[in-house]
Amino acid sequence: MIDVIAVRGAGDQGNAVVRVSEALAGCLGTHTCPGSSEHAEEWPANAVAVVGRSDPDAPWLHLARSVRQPIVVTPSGVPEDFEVRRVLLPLDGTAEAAHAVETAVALLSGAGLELVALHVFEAGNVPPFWDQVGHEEDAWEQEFQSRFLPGQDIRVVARSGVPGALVADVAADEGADLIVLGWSARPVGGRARTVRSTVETTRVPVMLVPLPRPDGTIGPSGTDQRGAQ
Amino acid sequence: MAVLSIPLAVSGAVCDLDGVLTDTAGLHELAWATTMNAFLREHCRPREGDRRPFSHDDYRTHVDGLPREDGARAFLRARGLEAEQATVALLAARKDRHFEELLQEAAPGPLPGAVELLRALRARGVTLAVATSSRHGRDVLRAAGLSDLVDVVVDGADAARLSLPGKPDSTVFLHACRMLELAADRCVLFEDSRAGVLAARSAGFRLVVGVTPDPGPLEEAGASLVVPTLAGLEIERSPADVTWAAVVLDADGLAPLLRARRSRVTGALTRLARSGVRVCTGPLEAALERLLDDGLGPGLVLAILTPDAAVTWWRRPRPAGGERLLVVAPVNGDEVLALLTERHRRRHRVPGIDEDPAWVIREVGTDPMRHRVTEALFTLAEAGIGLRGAVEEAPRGSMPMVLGAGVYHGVGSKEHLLPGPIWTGLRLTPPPGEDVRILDLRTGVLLRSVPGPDAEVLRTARFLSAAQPGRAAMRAEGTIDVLAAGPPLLLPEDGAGRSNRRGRVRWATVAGRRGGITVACAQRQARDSAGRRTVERLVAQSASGDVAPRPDELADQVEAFREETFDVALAAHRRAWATRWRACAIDLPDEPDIELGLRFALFHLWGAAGACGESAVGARDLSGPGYAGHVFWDADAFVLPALVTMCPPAARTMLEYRLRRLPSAQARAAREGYAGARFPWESASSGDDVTPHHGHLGGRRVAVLTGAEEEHITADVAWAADCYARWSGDDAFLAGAGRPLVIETARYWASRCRTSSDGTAHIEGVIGPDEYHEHVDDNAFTNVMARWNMVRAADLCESEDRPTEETRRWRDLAGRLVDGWDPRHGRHEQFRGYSSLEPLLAADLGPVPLAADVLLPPERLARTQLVKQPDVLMLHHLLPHAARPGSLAADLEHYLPRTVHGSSLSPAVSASVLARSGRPDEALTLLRTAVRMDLDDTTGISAGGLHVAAMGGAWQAILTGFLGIDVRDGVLNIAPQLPASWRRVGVRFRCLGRHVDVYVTGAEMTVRVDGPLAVRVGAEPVVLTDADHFLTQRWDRGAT
Repeated sequence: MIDVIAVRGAGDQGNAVVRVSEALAGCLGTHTCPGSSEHAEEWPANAVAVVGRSDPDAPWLHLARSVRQPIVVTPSGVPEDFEVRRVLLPLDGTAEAAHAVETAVALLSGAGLELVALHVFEAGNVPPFWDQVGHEEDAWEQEFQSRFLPGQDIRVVARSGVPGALVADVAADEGADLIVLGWSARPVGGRARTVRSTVETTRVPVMLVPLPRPDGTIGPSGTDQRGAQ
Repeated sequence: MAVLSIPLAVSGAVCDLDGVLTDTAGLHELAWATTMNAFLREHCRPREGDRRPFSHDDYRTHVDGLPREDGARAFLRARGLEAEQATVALLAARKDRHFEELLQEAAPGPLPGAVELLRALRARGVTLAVATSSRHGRDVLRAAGLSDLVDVVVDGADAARLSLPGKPDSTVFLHACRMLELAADRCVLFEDSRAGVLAARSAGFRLVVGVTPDPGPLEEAGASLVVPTLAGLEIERSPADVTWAAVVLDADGLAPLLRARRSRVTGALTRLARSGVRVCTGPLEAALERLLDDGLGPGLVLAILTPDAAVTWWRRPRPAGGERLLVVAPVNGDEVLALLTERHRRRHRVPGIDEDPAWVIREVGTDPMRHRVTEALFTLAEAGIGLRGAVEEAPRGSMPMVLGAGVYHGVGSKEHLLPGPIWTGLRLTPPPGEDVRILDLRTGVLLRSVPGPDAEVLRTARFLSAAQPGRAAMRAEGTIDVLAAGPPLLLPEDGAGRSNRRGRVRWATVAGRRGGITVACAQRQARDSAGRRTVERLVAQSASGDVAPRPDELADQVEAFREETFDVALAAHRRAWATRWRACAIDLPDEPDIELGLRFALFHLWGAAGACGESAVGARDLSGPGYAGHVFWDADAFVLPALVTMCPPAARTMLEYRLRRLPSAQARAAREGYAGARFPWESASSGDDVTPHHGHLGGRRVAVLTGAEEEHITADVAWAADCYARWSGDDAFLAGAGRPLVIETARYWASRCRTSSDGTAHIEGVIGPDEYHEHVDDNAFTNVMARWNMVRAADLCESEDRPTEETRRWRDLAGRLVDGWDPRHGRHEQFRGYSSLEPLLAADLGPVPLAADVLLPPERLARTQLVKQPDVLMLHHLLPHAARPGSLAADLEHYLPRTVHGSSLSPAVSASVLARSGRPDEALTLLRTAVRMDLDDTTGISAGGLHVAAMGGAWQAILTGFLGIDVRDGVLNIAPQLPASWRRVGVRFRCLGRHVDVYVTGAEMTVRVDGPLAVRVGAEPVVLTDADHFLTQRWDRGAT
């Protein structure tokens, strides 16, 4: 059984945290329980924690870097009837992204949600060839599905631009209720910029899924300051 | 008595020296003891380290088999002593001096059994090397009287000279193999030390024989056999490890040996010949040449020779690939009979291939994503049917597929290739993990091998007959717990099909809106006493774009196939491929990657050559579902010019596809208010335009205008018709059946041109090959192609009759049609207004190739001078003599830096014009990009199908670019422009009804033809060569 821990701090986001926690608990078929960031090390290993984006008592970035569990960063202004029906999974071909998708699929596959994968073409990953506009994206999408979403019924959406600036917009365009991002707990680098930008600008909750290290462990990365993903 | 059974595939032996062949181990041990005991006495304080005297255990454990310094260091460490390098070197030198002294005093003799072993190996045709860490290896061998028995020696002195690391590193052993010109898996190693056995195992030796009274450590280290001494070791040849395809018997040399068995040997050879094995007698080299002409490389040939002949074979310079020959020197007639009988017993086994690295694409691994790519890479195609190279168990993500040329389903832009019945499925339990898959380009056979813990657990081979169109076959063998046949035919998941059986033949058919694909198959299973199951499928398949072929006809063909047998069909198939490679080939030894890539390209281009009647060559041909099988200008401007140099009739069938759709092209022109015929940008079954109206660029939905505006396809079709006639010498084609392709297209252009008030003619609102700029006016490529089209049509008509009003109008319009020539800059302007666009360069965006339209919005890109692929440069490629004289250099200078190569067609064409302009070294990088595109999956989507037009472009780049080969007015012109790194290049191709070989080495060129042909080399006068005559001429490497 997965616990959804509602981390309520000071400020006006308490209600949003509760609404998101309850909605997630509904998806996962579990229950919510209150929690505190001060006792994060006591959270069960299979918990999902929900925190407010601008909660001064539980700064999300600090929390995301120090816990092993996925955390859901919630903006204020979540509607009272908030439900999770569609989930956006940004995928950039990195290990973080692949792990986030795996985790999201494992967590949410039984909940009847629609999963939408997003790939953003940018300078570093643009394909060398794009022969015929009327055909190439079909070929590309089929291959992308096979490589990164094998066996999954997940729609793929592609965009061009800067991922950090695009994810929130696409989430809005697609009507996503939740964004799931892989998170290597490193504070700098392209993915860190994407994560921070997305969390700060989106109007929907963002689930950050920590990436296991090569030894399989997950968690605080105090000594890992290599930066780039 | 121990018996060492040496597989047929093993042709070499590498022996350690000390302790294996000679008894110098005792001398070494004594030298070490003398050296180390003195050191321990003199230099170690009482409380420092372990001062016990050097012992036999110390020798075996720490120094035996290692280079001296490594041994000294290992011993000192074991004694708790850390010594500086200078001390280690000093001790090593002392030991060496002591050993030399001992060697002088007591010359070592061979160990018991050593001489007999070497003689026995030699008598069985095995070539021999000695590899030792000892610097005195040669001295010791000489002293022991063994020098004359070995072919190669690698000793410590060689290792030091060549900086080879010593044991336990395997480099010394591998160097010995290289000296023998054999791979490690074709050698057996004899060793007495654990370090040596480990090294041999890691190096991949087929067999490792340990020689020591204490077998435990060597067995643990992986020795195949451990004997206490070589004395009494029996050597025999195991006949059962290779399913060879030909045997060369030295009948004269072996006559005394075979005397008593002559009739039985003759009978065995006759049986083998009947089952498809080639049997040759006579001189070995001549036989190998004949066999190569039958598609049988040396790795598939067993040579049964006298011992002397075998030794001679290994010692003298051999023909290319000779090291892969299987060589046996039998000791009696019974051994010959055993070899032949065993091969006959294996007649239902999976055949072998000659693993020549210059001719095989080899894939090893478990990555399912790479497997998807290899499915496309390993596509086999013949007779207008393609079979993707999916593995037999078709795991998740796999796309097993049978596709037929011109067999479509669906309507309009959704029309796509129809998948047919699959005949390669097997039930494999559990599904294999790591496997080895090898596509033999020389013979068109796809082989798969799945290793098990002890032996291979599965092996499969398949081919689509190049000799008997429509026939195909597969064999699989494996342990019964792994391999089960399962249903021989499977209908595709999304196809509407039906299946049934007629007697022992099963059939399945899938029908589309019009045509269909039908497959019939006979399956045979067998099981041997060793628990091995064999599954064989003999297949007849047919595809038609008009009507699904009748199952009964295919069933009849399978019945006939059953009479012939798998092996006979395979032999015919190999011969057919050999004939192909005699017609068209590349030899580029200085660039093995490019050479293999070009052979891979030619292999798949042959796959596009097999259709009968008409041939619809889609953008991915028959290697996958990508691009729906739609036919683009790729077919006319890229594939056809390659095919006409390989198989002119195949190029003719491509033109037949256009001819049969001429009415549709005429109807479109009429609908749009024009005369003549306008061919569609994308074409499928009917010849109507099937270009999608929308597509996506980086997720943006965009209107696709190519169907409406990329009109140059109409001139490309006319150009293809002319290209075919020009290269093949089939003058009757343009005068007869092919005439409308030139005339009707010229009529279209004549009606399409608009004349302005100043009298100039224009073509407006088009898209050129550079698709980043849409709806442009007076695209230079389109206009020059249209101009050429009208002039060519006028020439054609006037060659038969007097000028008419129409031909005069064509010439008049052609003369007035603007071509973007900018005399101020001495170059062509790509289209009207191009020069005023933002002068962005490709390098401003990033390294090329780069799909700039995915990165930048279309409207932004359209405002720049960035070019997707050669446009002005494409006119230099297709019509080098229609462009303004001397403009190529200036156009290259201007347009190449602006070209992002965002089309897979771009690198090859750019390489071609670069080379032709005298910049071959720069062209080389682009050529490499073109030929490795699918092999390295740089496109990221090769799994969906191969870029067959890029392959055609790469072959053109070699012929017309680097070798400057062109045909004009019935004369073959050759003007090479070769990169400095190419010392030798040879091509073979068809031209003007002849087979032509061009071979360039240094500054000399040789041209060989099989009939009279007019040839011009560079600016030299035309020489008419006679049949089978050589034309050897010097050429100027630097000339342009």
